[in-house]
Amino acid sequence: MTFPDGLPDNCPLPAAVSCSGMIYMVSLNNPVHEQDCLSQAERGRAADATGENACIRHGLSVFPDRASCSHQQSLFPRLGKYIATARLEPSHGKILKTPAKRNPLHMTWWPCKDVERKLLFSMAEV
Amino acid sequence: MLWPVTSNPISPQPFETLHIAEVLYEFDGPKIFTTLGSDSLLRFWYESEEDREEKLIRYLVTPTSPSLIQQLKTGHKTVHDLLKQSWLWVVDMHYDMSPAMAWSLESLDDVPQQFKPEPHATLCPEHMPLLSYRLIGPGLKEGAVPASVIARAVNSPASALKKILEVVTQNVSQGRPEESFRKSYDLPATRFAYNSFEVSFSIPNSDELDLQTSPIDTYAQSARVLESGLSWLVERSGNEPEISILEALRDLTPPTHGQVESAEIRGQLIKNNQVIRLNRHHRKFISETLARHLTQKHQLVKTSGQIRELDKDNLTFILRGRPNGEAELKCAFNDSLYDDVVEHFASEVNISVTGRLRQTKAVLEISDIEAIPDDAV
Repeated sequence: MTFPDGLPDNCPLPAAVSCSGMIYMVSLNNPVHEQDCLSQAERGRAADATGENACIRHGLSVFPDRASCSHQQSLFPRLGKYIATARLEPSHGKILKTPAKRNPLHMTWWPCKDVERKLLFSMAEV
Repeated sequence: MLWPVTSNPISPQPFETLHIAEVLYEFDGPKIFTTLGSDSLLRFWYESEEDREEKLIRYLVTPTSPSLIQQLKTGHKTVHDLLKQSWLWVVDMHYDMSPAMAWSLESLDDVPQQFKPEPHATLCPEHMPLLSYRLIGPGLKEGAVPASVIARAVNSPASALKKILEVVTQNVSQGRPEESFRKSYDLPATRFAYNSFEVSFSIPNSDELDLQTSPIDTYAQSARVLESGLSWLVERSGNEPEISILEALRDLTPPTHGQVESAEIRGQLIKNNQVIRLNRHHRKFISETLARHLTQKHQLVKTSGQIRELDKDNLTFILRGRPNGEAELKCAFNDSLYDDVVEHFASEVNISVTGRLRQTKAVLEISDIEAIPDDAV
């Protein structure tokens, strides 16, 4: 399993497991655009993070269910008006539950290097 | 490119050398947090937008207090509520959290919709309302909402939920329901908003409920029943719901006349956090369907007799001495008829009652009661 260049040491985090199952994320575009699937680090926002946080910034923020994703969308409408979903398989990378403040179901997905992320997503059914 | 601010800039100096007091919500870094400045002022920060090219983050900032933060954490205030303060600043920060520009805004209304939280969004997902009910009509705004509209906004969801829960829990509450069951649908109203007029209800304290299954399971089942009913009503798909659910749906629709023209429902009881809007056509459709059923199954009955047994707790009585030796009949009544029923029971007079006979339950749900003068018997 090869991950993109530039990941910090021990990243993905050792507790991460092979991807399996449905994930949900808020998307600006329909269909999902490449820009919708970039990690914070790929967007240039990882410089100040250290330790595990530095690694988490190299992954994508996703949710295991639509309800928690929808809650995030209602708090931050600018993230996008669409909710996209993907069925991940082990070849798509590693994933880990990374609960944060008031965001208990938050997960981080570290996609493998050659995964065409945008192609995995479709719009979640309303 | 960040959204345009129309007011004049102010000095960003008050936003320098910030100390984050508490991170309230984070993903990929803090998104909602409080700071304590050198002026000892507690401020509330909400990440509104990011300019990746300029490496700037735009925040909405308001003064706040520990009690407001506590109300936010417990779900009694939404994030929108905390931003709707007399003082509101827009502050652009560099990625290193040094301030770039700042403005003072007159109102949160000056912030474009997509760059502020939705009014109903609570900090924690579990505090999202179980049900929000919004009545919409011309002229419904703060200071101009008639009491009848407020009463409808409060009573209709409770009435609908009662009927749904009766189906889900098989709890046949004729007359006055048990206290624990009443609490399962007489939900705590946690928020009122004037847009047009909206009431949000949260899940009651589970310690007060005595349901056969866990409250979460019960409400999840209720959500499925409601979803199926709404799907039939709005999309005309699926099977026609049973009468109780039709009645619950009718409770949620707007009246056919008056100021309220439509009603919106949302919340955890609605699948995928959707907003469902019901209008007068939906009410007409349900009323027609119900009329067909009521004629067939809930016969309109007028009868007479004497009240010989009265259950004041459950608001039911047994009517005996009916004409032509007809069998005794169990009758259920509501609070508004309580005084009349008690008086007629005490005075042992002959009475005439009118109501709908629920044949499956063999109970007459009375809508009108009156004493028959002695000389008319």
